[in-house]
Amino acid sequence: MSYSGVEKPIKWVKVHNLPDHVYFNHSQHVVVGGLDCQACHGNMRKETVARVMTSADLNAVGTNDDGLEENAVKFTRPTLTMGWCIECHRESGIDIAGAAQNDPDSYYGVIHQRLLTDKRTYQSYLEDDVVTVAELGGLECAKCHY
Amino acid sequence: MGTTKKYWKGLDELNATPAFVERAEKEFAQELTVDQFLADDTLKESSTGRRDFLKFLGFSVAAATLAACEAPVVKAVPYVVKPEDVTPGVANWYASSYYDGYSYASVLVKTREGRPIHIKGNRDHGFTNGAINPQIAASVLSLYDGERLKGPQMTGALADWNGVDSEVIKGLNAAQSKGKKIVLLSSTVISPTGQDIIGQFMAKFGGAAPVMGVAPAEGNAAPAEGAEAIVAGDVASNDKVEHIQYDAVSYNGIREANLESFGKRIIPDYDFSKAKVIVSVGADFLNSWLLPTQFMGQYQVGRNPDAEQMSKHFQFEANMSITGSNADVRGMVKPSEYGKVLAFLHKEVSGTGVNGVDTASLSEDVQAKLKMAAELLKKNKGTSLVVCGSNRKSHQVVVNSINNALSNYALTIDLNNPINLFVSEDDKMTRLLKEMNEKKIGALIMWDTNPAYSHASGDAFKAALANVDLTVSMARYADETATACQYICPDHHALESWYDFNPKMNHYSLAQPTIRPLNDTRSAMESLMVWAGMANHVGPDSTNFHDKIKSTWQQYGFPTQTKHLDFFSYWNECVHNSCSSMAVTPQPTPAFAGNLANAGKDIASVAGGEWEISLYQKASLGIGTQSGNPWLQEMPDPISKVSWDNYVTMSLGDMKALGLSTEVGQESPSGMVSVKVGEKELLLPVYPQPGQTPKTIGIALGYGRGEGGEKIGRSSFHTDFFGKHESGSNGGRKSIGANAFKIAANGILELNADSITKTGENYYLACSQTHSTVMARNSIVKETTLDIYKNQPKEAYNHVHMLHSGWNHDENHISEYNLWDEHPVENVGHRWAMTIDLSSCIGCGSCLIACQSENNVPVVGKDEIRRGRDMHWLRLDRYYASDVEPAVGTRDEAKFDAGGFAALEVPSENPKVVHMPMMCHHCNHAPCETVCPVAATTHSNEGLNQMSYNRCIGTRYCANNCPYKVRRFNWFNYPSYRKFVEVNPAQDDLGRMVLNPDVVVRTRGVMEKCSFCVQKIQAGKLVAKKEDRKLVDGDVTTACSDVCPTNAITVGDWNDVESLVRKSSQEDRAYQALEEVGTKPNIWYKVKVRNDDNDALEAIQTAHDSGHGEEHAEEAHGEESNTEAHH
Repeated sequence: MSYSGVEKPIKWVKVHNLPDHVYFNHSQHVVVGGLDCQACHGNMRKETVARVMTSADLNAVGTNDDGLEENAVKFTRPTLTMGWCIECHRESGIDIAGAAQNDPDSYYGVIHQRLLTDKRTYQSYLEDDVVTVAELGGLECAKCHY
Repeated sequence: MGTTKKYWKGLDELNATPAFVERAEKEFAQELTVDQFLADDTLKESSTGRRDFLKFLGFSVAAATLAACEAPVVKAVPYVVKPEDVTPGVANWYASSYYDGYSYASVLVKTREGRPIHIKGNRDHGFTNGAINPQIAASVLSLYDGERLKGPQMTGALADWNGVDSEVIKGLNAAQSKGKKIVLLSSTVISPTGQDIIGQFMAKFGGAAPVMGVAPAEGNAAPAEGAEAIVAGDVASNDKVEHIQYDAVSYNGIREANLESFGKRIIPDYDFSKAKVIVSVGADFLNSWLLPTQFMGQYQVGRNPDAEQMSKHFQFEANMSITGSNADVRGMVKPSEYGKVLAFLHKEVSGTGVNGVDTASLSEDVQAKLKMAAELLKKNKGTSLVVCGSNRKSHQVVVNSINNALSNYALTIDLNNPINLFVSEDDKMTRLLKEMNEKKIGALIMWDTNPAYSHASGDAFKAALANVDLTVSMARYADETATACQYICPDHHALESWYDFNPKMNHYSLAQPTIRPLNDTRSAMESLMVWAGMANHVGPDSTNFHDKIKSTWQQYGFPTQTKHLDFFSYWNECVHNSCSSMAVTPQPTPAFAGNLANAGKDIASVAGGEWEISLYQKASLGIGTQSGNPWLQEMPDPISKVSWDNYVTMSLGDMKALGLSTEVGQESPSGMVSVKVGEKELLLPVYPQPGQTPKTIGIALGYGRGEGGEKIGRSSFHTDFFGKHESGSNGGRKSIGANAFKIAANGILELNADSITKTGENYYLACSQTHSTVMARNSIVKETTLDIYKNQPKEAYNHVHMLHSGWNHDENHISEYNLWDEHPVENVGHRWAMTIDLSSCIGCGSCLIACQSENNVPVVGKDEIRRGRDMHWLRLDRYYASDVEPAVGTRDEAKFDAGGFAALEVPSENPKVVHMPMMCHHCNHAPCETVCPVAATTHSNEGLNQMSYNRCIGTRYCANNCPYKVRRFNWFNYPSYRKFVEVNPAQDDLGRMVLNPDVVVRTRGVMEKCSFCVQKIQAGKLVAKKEDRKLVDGDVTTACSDVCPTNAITVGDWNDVESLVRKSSQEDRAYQALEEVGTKPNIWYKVKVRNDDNDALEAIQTAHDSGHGEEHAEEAHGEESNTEAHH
């Protein structure tokens, strides 16, 4: 058998559909946020047909799966809804102090420097010992809708 | 979304039984009212008006919700072999050059998934330094115009290229064998490769030996013979083949004058940045004269009030031009007096007058201003510049003589690096017309030109085409000229084609395609190659012209440089940068040899008339090439603020004398006049223009396109109340405005009218800014003179608002007080801010178009604009200083008390003008946010005022509460409602391609406004985050700041103390508009500094002491309530 030379694209059925008025960028979450794929897409190793995972599926990731990290955030909202996004943004922390220690001129290092000049605000952020995505503006409308 | 869903209220309807259809038709007894205001087309398709929908909602709701549950299956189709440089969702920027025979600039083209969606200037390469004009910014939309020709046409019917090619070649051979002349007619060709092709084409058909164009990089050689060859390009008229270059707006006078003065038929290069004194007589060099994309930036460099010496700009003109509105001193003269003004200046500067010119008739005011100008010119010898907009050789000879006497031919004027644009020779066109009528022309091939429209004898030209055996047009549209030709071989759009340009002698640039040709078009140059037998027709993926350009650059450009050892890397760098410059060898300036006596005779022969006309080019339409571009049509003129129209500008006094209405408003129609010049008549409405010289009128070129109903873009034509095209007298579509080219004889744009009479008809103009002044609000626009700025404390020109509080009368700056809790925007993360320097802003309007392109701002059409429903996120406010205000925003209390606000509305005859870009101020105490009942507009901790369209229910409380009036309401579904079919590009599949996929298209019933280009902010932040570094200046820009040719707009992170915007906002000139309202905006303006003497203003500003300030704040408060009452 030889290569036919005929090129035909594979038509994938897209299961993760966001409405047009939502801007989502993978690199913000994977490169910057350091999330693993399974945090939102579940354990795809077990699947034969792609599907949108339920919150329960995501919460189960890592509990029985070898080698997969468990999700830090336990979801209560249906996946791919705004509530789900917000739930995660509310609970996920950003280690800005650590970033500042590594390199004060890094992106979050600079953010940390600035927060230090407004200790009252910084303290209010640290009431739960963690600076969350939400506290840095992760819940604001125009972060995703524009 | 919801609007695309088909709702049905019964099986009858779903199946469209005849009985139901009949009933449905009767259902809408008041079709117009209900339909017009309540329904929209997508809903109407289901024959369910909104009201009926609600009525039937009760029982059909189940069906509707069931239907909504079905999730559509979306297929994702990836590339089989992904192009290396395309990542879905990530924009690519290509460096290119734009030239359309009129405007030139080095540009960057943004493409998304292979389609160009935005154009901005290239700040890194090219002499235009990132400047473009509105026309260049909007040209990306013209690419997607559905009325562009789909393929070649043979006598009006679609044909195929091979058939057309063989017919054209047959015709050319026949012309040659019959001994008839073959003529190539185009606007100025500045392409070296194009000139080579034209030369070979001419040689092929028995013309003179090809004149080799200037090859790239010949610049180092002596101001090349080649350069002169292009410029002069003179082929004897009895030649077999001739290439005539004809420009709609001619600069023949400058070339002829330089030929006489210095022996070179050139247009020299000008450097406005080095000129300390600029005197312009009728030259609108910031908008239309020669090369504004270069001059705008240069001008701003010289206008910096913080520099050692700020330039002083005198303007003498008839119309209020954009350049004139920026002048420090503006004199009002008639067009017939331009020569006298120059002669007067000549006498004052050099001591010798121009014989035969009577300058005594100039008004005292003008003479005084000219004397002042002359004094300063003499003090700044070598660093001054005198320019004139007239196309008369005599005027330009006098200009040359003045500049020569001032030794300006070294620093500010460069004869050794001429501008190659506009080589038009007016007499050749006249000769061509004669030869056509004598049936001497065997073949006429035209491209980038439309003489049937743009020539004064356009109708005669069109008729004469019948006397030519073979007529070929390579126009992109079946335009006025092309429809009269046998063959139309459409050229690519500028964004679809390779090209090379040689705009200035030492500068070579490349244009690269950013999309595969959308239609079956072919580059005009490739067509010539095919007809000359240099190449075969290939189709859309042809590389013929590209290969030819490459070989030209290999042959001529590559050997001149030493940086690259192989051509491949040289070529790659040239394409990457889009251009390459060479050093200019300075040459001594030849002795001035102009004949002043002859010039004097000609100037003396220019007789004024009772009424004089000065034709001008608008920032939006220019010469009308893109009249079908709705963005440009809807762009309010920077001076008059009228959109979608052409009109006569006239002084207020003249209008009253003629009995014309001087009101311009939604329900105040303007009067029509008939302007007669010889046999020709133009019927136009009259607009009252402050600053217009009495007894003169201004009319813009570029309108009146498609008078024969030609398909030149749907936006060239009038639409009625329902959005349908109005019918013209010939039954076809009615073109917008009248064609003023018809009255411009011999390329002269200044002429006398035989009569101007009121017709008695009324006409509604759509004007986006109907009020004239700032109504005495001192804190919107702030202006001062250079003298006050340099010698007085900040408080004099940048008054701060103080409030006193408590029993002990503590006095504090207004910013110390908060109406609401403060938003934590300082020190936390970023705070996006902007400064706009009113001293730099010249009002060109590029930002407005850039914003429209970046943010998918809808086009709404004339009727909506007239109703004040314009949607521009960024508008340019233009303010005049009235008689009771020595400068904008300052007022004479006594006179004000006598006349009240009504007096403020009367602008001076020759007012001062300020241009002010106005957009959402992103107030930290935003009045809009507090009144939104559904929290659709909220504040981010980065200082942005965010708009959530999905939450908005359209109460419009926010717009009412906005002190800056920058919120825009979607009254209709502009992308689908039928009223906007002819104007809104988003209504057809092709036009939609221009939409920016990063920004949502808003639907009916929601509010929208400037988002500070939040999509660009997010993208810029992400870049910094991914590189894990501090966000720095340049990471985040807005569309308006990106495109500003004078760098008036600075954007950045205010929380970064090192950022430009932080420093800029802390300068003495920085202030916040309506500061006393306490909105704490994130936008700062910088006081406009005018380099003039203004005693009245000085008296006001230097009289201020600290005590007065507090008093003033109270007054200001009182005025606010007054103002409300007034409205």
